[in-house]
Amino acid sequence: MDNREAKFILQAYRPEGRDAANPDFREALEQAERDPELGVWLQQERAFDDAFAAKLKEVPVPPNLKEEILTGQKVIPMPSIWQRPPALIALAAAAVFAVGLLLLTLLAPQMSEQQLAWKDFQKAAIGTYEDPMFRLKKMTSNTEEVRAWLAQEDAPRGFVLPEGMRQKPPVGCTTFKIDNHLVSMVCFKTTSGELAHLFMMPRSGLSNPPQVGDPTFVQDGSWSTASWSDGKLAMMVATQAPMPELQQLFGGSPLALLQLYR
Amino acid sequence: MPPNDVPRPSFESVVETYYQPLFRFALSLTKHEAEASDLTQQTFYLWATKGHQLRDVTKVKSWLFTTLHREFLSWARRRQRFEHTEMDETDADLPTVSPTMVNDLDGSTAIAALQQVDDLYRAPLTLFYLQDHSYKEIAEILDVPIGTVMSRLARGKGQLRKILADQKKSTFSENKILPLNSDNKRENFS
Repeated sequence: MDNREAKFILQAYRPEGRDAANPDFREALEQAERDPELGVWLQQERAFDDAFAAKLKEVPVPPNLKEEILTGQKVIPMPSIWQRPPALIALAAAAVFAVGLLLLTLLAPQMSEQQLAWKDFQKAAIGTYEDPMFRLKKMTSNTEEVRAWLAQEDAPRGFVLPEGMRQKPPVGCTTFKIDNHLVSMVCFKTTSGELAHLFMMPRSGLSNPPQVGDPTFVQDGSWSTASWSDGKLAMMVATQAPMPELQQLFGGSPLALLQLYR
Repeated sequence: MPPNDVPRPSFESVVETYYQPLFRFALSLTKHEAEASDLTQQTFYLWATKGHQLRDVTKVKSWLFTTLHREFLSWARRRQRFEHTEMDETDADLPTVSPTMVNDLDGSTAIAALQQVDDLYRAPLTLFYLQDHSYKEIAEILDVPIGTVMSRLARGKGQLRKILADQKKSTFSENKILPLNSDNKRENFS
């Protein structure tokens, strides 16, 4: 490692020595101990960083902000988990667990066939994507790789895709579960650069799957969605692009459908 | 302690711990106090309504900063004002800015300098100076590779130093041309 490389690494070394135990910095730090020039540079760099970080902590925060956040929390419908003391949550969780265990024993065969309402599927699918910790498991612009990966995961696949989407190379794909149902998700970019997500799961897992054939278009807040069924699969394309752009992906009516990912 | 055994913090304690660094991060991104406040509130609104889905409570900090950054990008895209340019090269010779000079600044001047750094470098740089985030966490929050974070930190620091040095130069020039303070001016021209 030369000094240039060492500087590149050490400039990410946090003020107040918070990365002192991080082995990623060890070699560069040792070099700074050996090389006086690098040592002086590091000393100056850390002094500057310490001083600037201290100044950032002085940036005033609006005095009412905390109160406004906490007040705002009181007027929005909150999931009940935030509104119960921890002990009550623990008790409730234990009770739910015990009842759940009993039901699981008695109703195991029926539960495996429990069906989802389409609306719940839509909400959960979009909610999964909106979770900030969400990541695609497979990043690729190669359609064949998407197909192979979904097959390897034994995920829902073998679907018919609208012609407009067939022209778009994928960005990546992933799978996740909603209740016990495995869902496949393939992401594309629309003409304007927004992402469009194709979600799919077996129709048999749904109590009211969308109609077979032409899609139903629905605007739900900032999301434009198209839902339809094909063979054994129920599908939804969701995007934050405007509705006309989504409709364009389907190439008008009647749909020109092409087989992909078979 | 495994993540699932860590007790879930109350909404109030999450606000108490994170609202200040989140606001400062938002301020560096939006450059406007009102928008930064809105963005911070929106982040806590999302935490209140969706945070319960987060299973690993040790990730609360990352969840909040990631959410705020995503919300900012979404706002900025809608307003079509999020522009950034990639620098071709890192400045080889960075101006020297002494810690003493930084100590002479106040918090508002410091963040004003930070706000002049290109959008692309500002987010990692602010997270770095907020100190709670390692470069790996910054990569996770911004969803970019670790190497990219390192490059953006290097370039962002270069820009920040240049901005601070320019400020210093300009203050020095102003002082030379206009040695009178405002009170003197009032006396002379009244």
